[in-house]
Amino acid sequence: MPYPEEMIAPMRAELADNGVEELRTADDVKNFLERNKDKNAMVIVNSVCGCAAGAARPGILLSLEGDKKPDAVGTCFAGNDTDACNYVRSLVPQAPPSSPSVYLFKQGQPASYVPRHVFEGGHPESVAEHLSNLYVKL
Amino acid sequence: MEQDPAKRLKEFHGKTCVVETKLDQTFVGRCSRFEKDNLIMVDLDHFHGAWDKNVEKLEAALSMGHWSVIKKVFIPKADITRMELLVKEPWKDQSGEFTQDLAAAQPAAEEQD
Repeated sequence: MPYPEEMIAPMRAELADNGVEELRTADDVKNFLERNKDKNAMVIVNSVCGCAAGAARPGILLSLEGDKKPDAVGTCFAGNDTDACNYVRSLVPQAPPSSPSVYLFKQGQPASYVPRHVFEGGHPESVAEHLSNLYVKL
Repeated sequence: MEQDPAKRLKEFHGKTCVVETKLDQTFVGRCSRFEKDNLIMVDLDHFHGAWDKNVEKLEAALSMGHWSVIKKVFIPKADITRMELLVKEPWKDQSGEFTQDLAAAQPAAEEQD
């Protein structure tokens, strides 16, 4: 059962209001990756959990303030944008479903993945540093 | 590292941990909470053998996450030999000993539900 939209709206907005493209359907994800197939792209699987609020979302936004970052950033919401999340996950089938999580793509191909436990108990600064190190490798 | 047993238990709360038991089992999953006699873990995977027999699987869990093949387990605290946060990679230095102090500690009041 999806979460009430009014409950997760602020969690969506925290990313969307900072320039992250919302990907609500599988087609949204496909189109996003197709549009950015010659670039580096990131898809964030957003979540209601505390580590998303305390570490993942603020850490991701902090990481995007750096010089080196993905050319395009999109997001889907676990539990609500089910088809979109399933499609992203299908692109990295060896990765167990996890939220929050981050998928990095280089020229349309999966390049790196960050599962939930990286965010648990972390601080925005440490998350940003972790992600920034991955951006450099893209 | 935090030395106070009650605070250590609180540190595990809600986070992905790796647990080894006297029954030669390894669990990877989210620490839900500690009760008087049990650790409750949720959304976890289970491997036969101790940590040193499962290094490859633990490394995979660290890099890609773990599969949630079991919804919930109650693990007797008395059976736990080692427990640590997955991100600390305790199998590398054989840390994470689950001491009698930890086994006897009661979780802080705010995490009891």
